Formats: sequence, C-alpha cells, structure tokens
Amino acid sequence: MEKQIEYVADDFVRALQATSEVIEYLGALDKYESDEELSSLTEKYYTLSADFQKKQYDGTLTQPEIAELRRLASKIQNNSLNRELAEKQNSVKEILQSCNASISNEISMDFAKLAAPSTC
Amino acid sequence: MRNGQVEVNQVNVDRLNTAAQALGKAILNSKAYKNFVKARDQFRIDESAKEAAREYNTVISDYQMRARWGGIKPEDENQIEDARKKAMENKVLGDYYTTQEELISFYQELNTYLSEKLKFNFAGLAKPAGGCCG
Repeated sequence: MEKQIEYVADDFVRALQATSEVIEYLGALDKYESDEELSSLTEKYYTLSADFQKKQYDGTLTQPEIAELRRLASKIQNNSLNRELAEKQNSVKEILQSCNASISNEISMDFAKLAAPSTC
Repeated sequence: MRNGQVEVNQVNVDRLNTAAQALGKAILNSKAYKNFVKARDQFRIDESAKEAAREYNTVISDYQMRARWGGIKPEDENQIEDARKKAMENKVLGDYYTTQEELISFYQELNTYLSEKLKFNFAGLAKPAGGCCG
C-alpha cells in the first residue's frame, strides 16, 4: 500500500482507538472471547447445529433435539457478556458508520460496502 | 456525564471526523482511484464501449434469470466466459472493468490494514445495514 495512505490510515486508527465506543467494544469483546462458559456453549451450539442440519436433510431430526438447540441458543442470547457485547457493538457501529459516511462522501462511493468481506 | 468528559468526547469525535475525511482524500489521491476515474470517464464518452457493456449485461441478465428459475446448463457458464472475453476486447470497457476490480482490491487491502490494527473488521461493522448482496 502507498506510504501516504498508510500514514493517514494510521492516524484514522489512532483517532478511532481514542473513542470511548471503541475502547468499550474491545473490552466487551475481550471479556466475551475469554469467558470459558460462553466459549463452551457457543462451540456446543455450532457443533450441534451442524449435526442437526445433516439430520434435517436426512429427515431424522427429532423434536427433543430441536428443543435442545433452542435451549442453547436462548442461554447464549441471555448471557450477560453476550448482551453487553451486542450493546457495545451497536454503539461502535454507529460511530463506524458515521466514519464510513465521511470517507464515502469524499470518494463518491460507499467505501465499506465495497471493502467488506462478502457475506453471501 | 461530567463537563470535562463531554469536552473530551467532543474533541475525539471532531478529530475522528477530520481523520475520516483525510482518509477519504488520501483515497482520492491513490493510484487505484485515479486510474479508475480516468477509465470511467473514458467509458462514459465512448459509444462502442457502452454498446459492448450493454451486450455483456444482457448476457449476464439472461443467465441470472435462468439461474433464478433453475434452468442453468453447463454450456451457459461458457457463454458467460465468452461474453466476458468479448467485452474485454473493447479496450475502453476492458480498462473500465479492470480498474474497477483493482479499486475494489485496493479498498479490501485498505480495510484489511485498518482491521488488523483495530482488532475488528472495520468495513464489516461500518457498512450500511441491508441485504447481503445489496
């Protein structure tokens, strides 16, 4: 990447890192990722979800299995660290979307939309 | 919130807005952006390039329509590739498509750079809410 871009990008990163929204989001993310109970629940959820998708395809998925998956999803959703992360992510999104609007206004196209990894 | 804290936050927001605008201006001065704008402006005044783009877009639209209704055959993939090759033979259109792809690669590279330093995906969180391909 061009040196001038790197220099300006570094300054932008420093400005973002100084905001309370980013500091709090990273704090919540760190707590979320280092919580063993939550990691274990999430891992179990994804493993079961993958297994159940295969079973659903084969037509062998049972009601108790669906109930177990729903119970796990609800436990994750109601976890205080998960809720805190979601709340902080919403706040950080607002500030990042405002930054993206400033960048996009300069270049007359939506920077984030073109630069984001495809979710399709 | 205390007055001092409010002032600090306002200073941070102002600095952030200035830094975001500066990043936008730096993109404007990048080689990838300049090349794209030059190729796009050339495309806009070249009738043969616009005609070639229309032909290519018609093939793409037909393909997408057939894909939606489940009527895709293996030879349709070849038809798309042939249409793309034909479109790229038009130098003005070829330059326009190539510089567009290079600009998007540059944006993705810049996003990777920002995201690695921030420890989260900047564009992933900053893009407007909506459909995944929209």
